[in-house]
Amino acid sequence: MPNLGAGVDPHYNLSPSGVQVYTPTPGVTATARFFNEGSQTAYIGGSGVTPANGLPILPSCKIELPNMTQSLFACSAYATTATNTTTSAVGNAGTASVASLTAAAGFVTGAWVAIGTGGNVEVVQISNGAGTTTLGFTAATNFVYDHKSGATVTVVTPSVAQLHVTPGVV
Amino acid sequence: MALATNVLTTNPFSNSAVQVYTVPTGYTRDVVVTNNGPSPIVVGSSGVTFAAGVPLPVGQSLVLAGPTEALYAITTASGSTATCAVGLATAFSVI
Repeated sequence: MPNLGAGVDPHYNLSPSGVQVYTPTPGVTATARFFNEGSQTAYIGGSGVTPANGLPILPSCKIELPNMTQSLFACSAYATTATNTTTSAVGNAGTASVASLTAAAGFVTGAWVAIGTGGNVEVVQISNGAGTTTLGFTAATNFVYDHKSGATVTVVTPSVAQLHVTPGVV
Repeated sequence: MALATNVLTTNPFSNSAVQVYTVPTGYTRDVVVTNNGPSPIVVGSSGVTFAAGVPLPVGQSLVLAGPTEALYAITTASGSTATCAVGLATAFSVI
């Protein structure tokens, strides 16, 4: 979370990968206000926040937390495309690559992909392009969850959300 | 101060996600979620987990202004239980 100086609230353009947007002030009652100033839904939560598990903030809506003592993260929603494949190796949490894709067509540098299904699906950004069977991701989007071999990998389109964060103290 | 009406207190739940708020049809209101304890809870979407939702210590509240989606909650530890109060607010100003 950037420190922009006293009285300057940070604004975020959110991707489907979680980013830290709030750090509590230690030793005091810290407050947090989140306002979705964009046209897409934003999600806030802990370090593992995804659109599947975060607290949704619809466009033009806000959430107030009168006493928030933990760091918070946020992400945006996304739309899936028809381009998908599966992995043939395990992807562990904290790593930034997954090996042996069964097909790599359509997976280009900079593209966002959703890996997994159900509660542990997460979105990461490709750092190496097509033409390889090992798909790498940007360091900022390391896996938060473990992914089994055979996990579905689907190219997605981010629905970028704009979030205005107002931290404070009582 | 938010003036809550139609407060619903949930049944006790544990570290398995339960739906605590259903979006009403036909109108939108502010929503206040309060952790009645005795354990900390996490609030989020249907897939909410301990590491993913918004933490809410015992006795604390969060306020969602305007329309929202269905909300789910879990406790933060296996075996612990909690209840929460969900109210529709008529006015908005907490901080």
